[in-house]
Amino acid sequence: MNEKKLYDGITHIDDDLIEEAQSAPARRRKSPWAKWGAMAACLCFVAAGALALLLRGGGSALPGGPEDPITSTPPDASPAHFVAAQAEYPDRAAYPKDGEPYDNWWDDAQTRRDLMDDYRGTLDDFLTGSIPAFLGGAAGENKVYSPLNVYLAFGMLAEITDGQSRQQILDAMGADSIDTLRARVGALWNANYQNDGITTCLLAGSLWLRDDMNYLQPALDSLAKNYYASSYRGAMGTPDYNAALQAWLNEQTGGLLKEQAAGVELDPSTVIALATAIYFKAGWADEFSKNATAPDTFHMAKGDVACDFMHSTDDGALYRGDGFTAASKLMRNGSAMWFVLPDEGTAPEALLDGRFTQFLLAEKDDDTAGNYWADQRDGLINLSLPKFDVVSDTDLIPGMQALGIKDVFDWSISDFTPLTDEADGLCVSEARHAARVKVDEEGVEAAAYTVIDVKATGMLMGDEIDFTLDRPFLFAVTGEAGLPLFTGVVNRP
Amino acid sequence: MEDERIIELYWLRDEHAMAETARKYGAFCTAIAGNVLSDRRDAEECVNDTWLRAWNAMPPQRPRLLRPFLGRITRNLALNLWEKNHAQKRYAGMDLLLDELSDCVPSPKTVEREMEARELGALISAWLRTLSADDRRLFLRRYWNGESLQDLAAECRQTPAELARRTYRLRQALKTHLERNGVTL
Repeated sequence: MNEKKLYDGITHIDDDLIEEAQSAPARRRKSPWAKWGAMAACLCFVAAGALALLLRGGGSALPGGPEDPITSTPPDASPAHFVAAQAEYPDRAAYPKDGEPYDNWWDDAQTRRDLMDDYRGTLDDFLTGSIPAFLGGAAGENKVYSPLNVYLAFGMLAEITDGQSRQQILDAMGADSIDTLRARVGALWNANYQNDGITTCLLAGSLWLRDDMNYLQPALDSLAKNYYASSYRGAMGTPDYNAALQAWLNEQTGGLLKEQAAGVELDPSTVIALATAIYFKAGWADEFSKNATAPDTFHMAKGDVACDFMHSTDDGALYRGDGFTAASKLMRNGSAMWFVLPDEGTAPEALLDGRFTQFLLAEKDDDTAGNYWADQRDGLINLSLPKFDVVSDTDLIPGMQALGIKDVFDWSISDFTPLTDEADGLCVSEARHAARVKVDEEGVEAAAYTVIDVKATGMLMGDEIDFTLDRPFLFAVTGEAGLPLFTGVVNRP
Repeated sequence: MEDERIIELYWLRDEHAMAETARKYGAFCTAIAGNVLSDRRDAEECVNDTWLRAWNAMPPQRPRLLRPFLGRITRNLALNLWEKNHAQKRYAGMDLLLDELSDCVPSPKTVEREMEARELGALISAWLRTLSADDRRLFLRRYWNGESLQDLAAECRQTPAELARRTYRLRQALKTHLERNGVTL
C-alpha cells in the first residue's frame, strides 16, 4: 500500500514544520506575483568580507568579543528565527596543546595543502582580472578587496543562473563549466576553512529567501552542498528580516563591519539575496615588539600624516619589480602578509596594471618554477609598518561589468531559470563588497615579547635591509594555500 | 501548562499528565482523528488511545514539543483504526483473523517500517522547506492535519476549486522530488 507509506512519511515531517502550520492560517496573499512582472523584480546580492590581523595571546583585542554586543539582536530579528536549513561545516583537527602529538593536526593541514595543489593556478585568471577591477579607483582613499570572498559569491550567482548569464560569470571566473567551478569551490573551502585554535579562517555563505515564493530544489541543494550555504526564509523587506541578515553578516565577520552591515537592506521586491562572508584571524610568526612602536610620518599623495609605526627585524627577502619593492611577513601556520611599496612618485593604483597580481602569483621561492622572481635579495628585513585599520565598502557592479558579467544586470535578457519558475525579469540590482583589514597590536604585548625573544636569539646572518612603508602601498594576505585572501591599498593609514 | 512541565509529570508517572495533555491538546488531536476517520466514535476512541500511548511512551521518550509528538500518535492510530474498520467491511472474517494474528508477528517489521517512514519524512521535510510558507502550510494542514479543502478554502479566502489546483500542483511537485531522490513506494 504505497499511499500508506506516504502517509507514514508525512506523519514524520519535522516538528518545526508541523508547528509552523498550526500557528498561522494558511492564508494566501492576493496574487503576489501578478504585480511582479511589472516591478521587474530584482535579485539582490550581498558579499561581505573582513579580516582582522590580531596577534595571539590576549583574546581581548578580538572585535565582537564578550564586551561587544553583536548578539544583542532581538529574538524575532535573529537569523535563527528565520533559518530554513543550516549548513554543516567540516571539522578541523585542533592545534595540539603542550605535550600532545602533532600528528593529527599536521595530517589535517597536509591534506588540505595537497588538495589545493591540484588546483594551483586555476584561480590566476580570476585574480588577474578581478584585483584591478575591484581595487582600482581608490582615488586617494583606502580600498580592500577579498578575492576569495567574491569568488564564492560569484560562484553562488553562477548556480542560480543559466545560459549567457551563467557563461559570463564562468568566463570571469576562468572556469569552463559549472562542474569545474564546483570542484574548485570545494577545494577552496576545504583548503582555506580553518579553525584549529591558532588560525581562524571562517568562510560562510547564506541564502535569503522570500516566504511567499517557491524555489527550485536543485539550485538550493547545490548551494547548500557546494557552498555550505544556510538558507533563511522571511518576509522580504521587513525590518526584522533585514535585521536578521545584518546580524548574520556581523556574526560571520566577527562584528568588524557593523557600520557597513547596518546599511544592508533588502527591498520588498528582492527575490533572493546571496551572502558570503569570511573572517580571518592569525598571529604573526614573529610578533612586533610593542616597545619598538613609535610615531613617525606617513607621506600621503597629498600631505603628511603622523601615525604609529611598528618595527620588526625578520630573516626574509626583499623583492624588486618594475616600479616597486616588496616583502612579506609570515603568520603562524603558513599564512603571510605581502607588502608592495611603489617607487617614489608612483601611485599604488598604477601597479594594478598587472604588475601587482603578476608579483602575487609568482612562485617567489622556487626557482624550478617558470615564473620564479629573479630579483630578490635575502637578508634581515627591518620592517617599518604603520599600524593600520583600513575599510572600504565597494559597489561591485562596475567591476563585474568590466569583467564581462553583464546579462545578470539586465532583466530583459538575464537567465535565472535554475532559481525559480515563478518570476520573470530578474536582475542583479546591487552587489556590494565591504572589507576591512586591521593590523593591530592590542592585547598581545606579552606574547609578542616572548616570540621576538626567541627570534632575536636565532640566526643573524645576511645583510640588513630597511623596508619602510611610509608612503601609500599595496598589500595582500595569503592563506595557507598561498591564495590571496585579501588585497588592499593603503593610502591613509 | 508548559510542555516541559507536562512531560515532567509523565516522567514522574503522575497521572495528572494525561489530564493536562487532554486539556491542552484534546481539541487538536480530536480534529486530526475526526478529519481522518470521519466518524465521531472512532475519533474518540483514537484520541483516548493517544493518551494511553503517550503514557506508555514517556518515559523513555522525552519529546521537545508535545503537539507534533501527540499528533503523530493520533495519525498512526487513526491509520490502524481505518485499516481495521475498512477490512471489517470487506472480508471481515479473514481480515479480523489476520489482524488478531498480526499481534504475534515479531516487532522488527514495525521497526523497519518506522525507519522507512522517518527517512521519507526527512525527504518530504527538505522539499517542504523549498516551498513558500503559504504552500507549506497548505500542504501540512491538508495532509498532516487532514483538514478538508472546504475548511481550508474558507480560511484562505479561496474557492475549494482553486485550492484543489494548488494541492494538485503540490502533489505533482512532491512526486517529482521523490522520484528525483530515487524513492520507490
